[in-house]
Amino acid sequence: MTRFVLRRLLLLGVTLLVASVLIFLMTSVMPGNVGRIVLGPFASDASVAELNRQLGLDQPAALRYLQWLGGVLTGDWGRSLTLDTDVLPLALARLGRSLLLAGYALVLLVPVAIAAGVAAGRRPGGWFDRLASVVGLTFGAMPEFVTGVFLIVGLGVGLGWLPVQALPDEGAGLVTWLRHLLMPALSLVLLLFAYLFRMVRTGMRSELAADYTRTAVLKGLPRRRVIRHHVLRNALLPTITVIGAQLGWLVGGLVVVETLFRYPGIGSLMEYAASNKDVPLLAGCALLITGVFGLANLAADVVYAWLNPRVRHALAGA
Amino acid sequence: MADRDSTGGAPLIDRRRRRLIQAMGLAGLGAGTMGLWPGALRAAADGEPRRGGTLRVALPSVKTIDPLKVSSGGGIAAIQQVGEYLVWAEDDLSLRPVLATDWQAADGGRRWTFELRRGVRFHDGREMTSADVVATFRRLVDPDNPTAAASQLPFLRPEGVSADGDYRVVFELDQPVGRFPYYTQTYNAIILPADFDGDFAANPVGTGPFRLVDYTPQESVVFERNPDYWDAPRPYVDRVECDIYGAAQPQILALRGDEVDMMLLAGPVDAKPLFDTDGVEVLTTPSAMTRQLTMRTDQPPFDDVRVRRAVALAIDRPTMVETLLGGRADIGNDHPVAPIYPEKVSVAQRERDVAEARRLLAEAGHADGFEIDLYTGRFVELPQYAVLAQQMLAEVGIRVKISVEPLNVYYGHWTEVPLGLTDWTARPTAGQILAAAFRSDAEWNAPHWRNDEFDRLLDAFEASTDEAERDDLATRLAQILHDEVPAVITYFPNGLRPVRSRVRGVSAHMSNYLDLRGAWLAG
Repeated sequence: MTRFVLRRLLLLGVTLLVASVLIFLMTSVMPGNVGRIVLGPFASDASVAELNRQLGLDQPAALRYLQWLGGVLTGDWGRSLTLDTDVLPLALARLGRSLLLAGYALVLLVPVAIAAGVAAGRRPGGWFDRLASVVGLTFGAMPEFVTGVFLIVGLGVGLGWLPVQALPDEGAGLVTWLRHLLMPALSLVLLLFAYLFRMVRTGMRSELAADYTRTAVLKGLPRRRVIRHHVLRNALLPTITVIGAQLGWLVGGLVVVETLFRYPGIGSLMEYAASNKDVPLLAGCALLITGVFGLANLAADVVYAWLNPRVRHALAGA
Repeated sequence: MADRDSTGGAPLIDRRRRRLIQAMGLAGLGAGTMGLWPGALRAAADGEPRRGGTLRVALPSVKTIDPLKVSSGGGIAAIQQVGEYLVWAEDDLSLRPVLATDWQAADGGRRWTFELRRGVRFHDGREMTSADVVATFRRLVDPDNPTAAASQLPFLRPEGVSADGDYRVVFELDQPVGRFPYYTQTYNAIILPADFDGDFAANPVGTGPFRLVDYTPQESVVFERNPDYWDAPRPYVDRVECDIYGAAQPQILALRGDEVDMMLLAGPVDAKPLFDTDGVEVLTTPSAMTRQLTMRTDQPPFDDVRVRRAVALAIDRPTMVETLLGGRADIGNDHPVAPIYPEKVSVAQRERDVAEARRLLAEAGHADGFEIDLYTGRFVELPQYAVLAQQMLAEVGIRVKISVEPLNVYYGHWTEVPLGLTDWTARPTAGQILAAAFRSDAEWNAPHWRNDEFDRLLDAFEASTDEAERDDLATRLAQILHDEVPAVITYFPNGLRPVRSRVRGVSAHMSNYLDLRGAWLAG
């Protein structure tokens, strides 16, 4: 098991390296000019060229990459080209926020989706199954900027129950934070519910139809015990992989939700960096998000292996 | 600080304006040429300002806040709380003395002397003197400093700025500039200490009404009242919290949800729902902002003036203004001398005439019309403008293909495209925009248009300090642009600034600058 984890971590390192090369390659062919972006359309070409020279952008991309890589390895992630700040503290603060929102959304989503999936899977075609499927799919098909606006206009502007902005004032307590984050988290839950719910439901249905389930029922085990000890263990395996895969998106891909609720996370920071060609900032954010994504998948695989004896034994033998 | 200027009020501004007119050698003229805009100045009617409170402002994207490099609307608004200019152009384009109290032209507008306000202190306690002003302007025009200001002050060289004692600064210009005081309000030109180290985010020191206490990039800028501000009792609010937003929609939701007190600005499309929202007012002001539909005059098909005129004749201006802006704009006439400028321009208004446009196109050899690519940026109402223009041009046979690009991409090639739609910010003088957009050798002459007569008249216009002569020159310049049509200028949209009703002492601004020294919150 340890060897498995170590190998995966090594692989993650290679992934990060490849990702950083790709980022530099892509930014060097992306349209736009940093000097022009910073100074605006009405600066002279001479000023733009001078700024690019001062930022070192007149140097070849390969050289800039090596300098950046050397910096990252020694803990200096460089300075943003367009914002007056160093990359690492900014990106880390944003990552922390994104993790909080993603964690909050998952805490709300996972129990509800699993419970609903189990209940629906036990009686496929029943009223609850139909209701949950239709409601889930309806919200799942709606983009988050639509559900988000509905939530804001309804719960925020109209009823005044929840704050419109996700970012509380400085020094706010945990309860305030959770109140502020409820609406963005809800819009994510609504978006992801159908996906997770259907995974669990499908898993339940196939495992309930499996031979071992019939055996367990026939030898007289109570239904509750059959589900808890035999069916769920197997039915939830694919769901765990799916949650792991969603975490990367939940942390790094929430540009729309972050912008709509003004919750400055790492997704919108990366979007800003990409549209403004702020390469050190973009590379730093991408590195962190790729890292989170890789670790989340690794964690999902470890949990999967732990739950699945076949994989666990295979790894132990490796 | 028993300064005679600290009293404020309208009579003072009138006196100042008179003095400006005298300074320009115009005594007896111009008294009626600059009217006040009713509605734009609400402060006067709101009674006694109330002290205290926190004003929450929604800012659009802020890139750098380094005063030398700043160019984003939010960034400019942020530095304007910390620092101040020598002068401030009011809504009616009169000049309010700020760090300069007086100014005189000599040598036909080639040499300008500014008297500085005495007793003004930087946020670190040091007095502002001529050394700081000289250093600020030298920094702005030093070719080693990348800044947009250099191109706004092309007639100024570092050695042209000098101090004459502690409270007087002399500008020696390469050419006469009759409206030079306005140019000193170039947005980068807040007066910084002479020893400014280049890192404004870490060490934000100016003379302004507020001190910057916290700046989190892409998130918020927080200011606190400067208790030693020279223009006591201003400012009135204790604290200004600016939240930075990535898009317009969340700002509008936050304003409606009463989580911010005001927005810096709103585009006409975004502001629509706010005009009938309870508790929200949209402040408006006439502006010299333009949208220029520029045509490459150096290549077919727009190298033929008849084709350009046909395009201008195809555009239905009143419909555009009504559809895109809800009527909140002045109609344009294919020249950038907006009605807000003091120069009186008399050029016959161009009206839509499809038959004439078709005739001109046929005469130019395009009886069956032609296809053309129109490029623009994804910004305010520009994409919708492009669609309307596409429909209107289709009626005269011009088939337009629209490319709406992210602004950063568009600005990468906006002076190269055959047909481009560009937003131009308002400048306080007509000369600035005429020179920036249409002088033959101007970098942003997107139509690549050359006209020696225009250049000659423009030189005279920029130098002139005689109002009657300025009117005449402006009319001739506008007439050339109207006839030659390097760009279709359909309208001058009003500046819009949505605020909660309790916000007082704030007005919209034609360049979306933010002056909060008089802002206060009603109970």
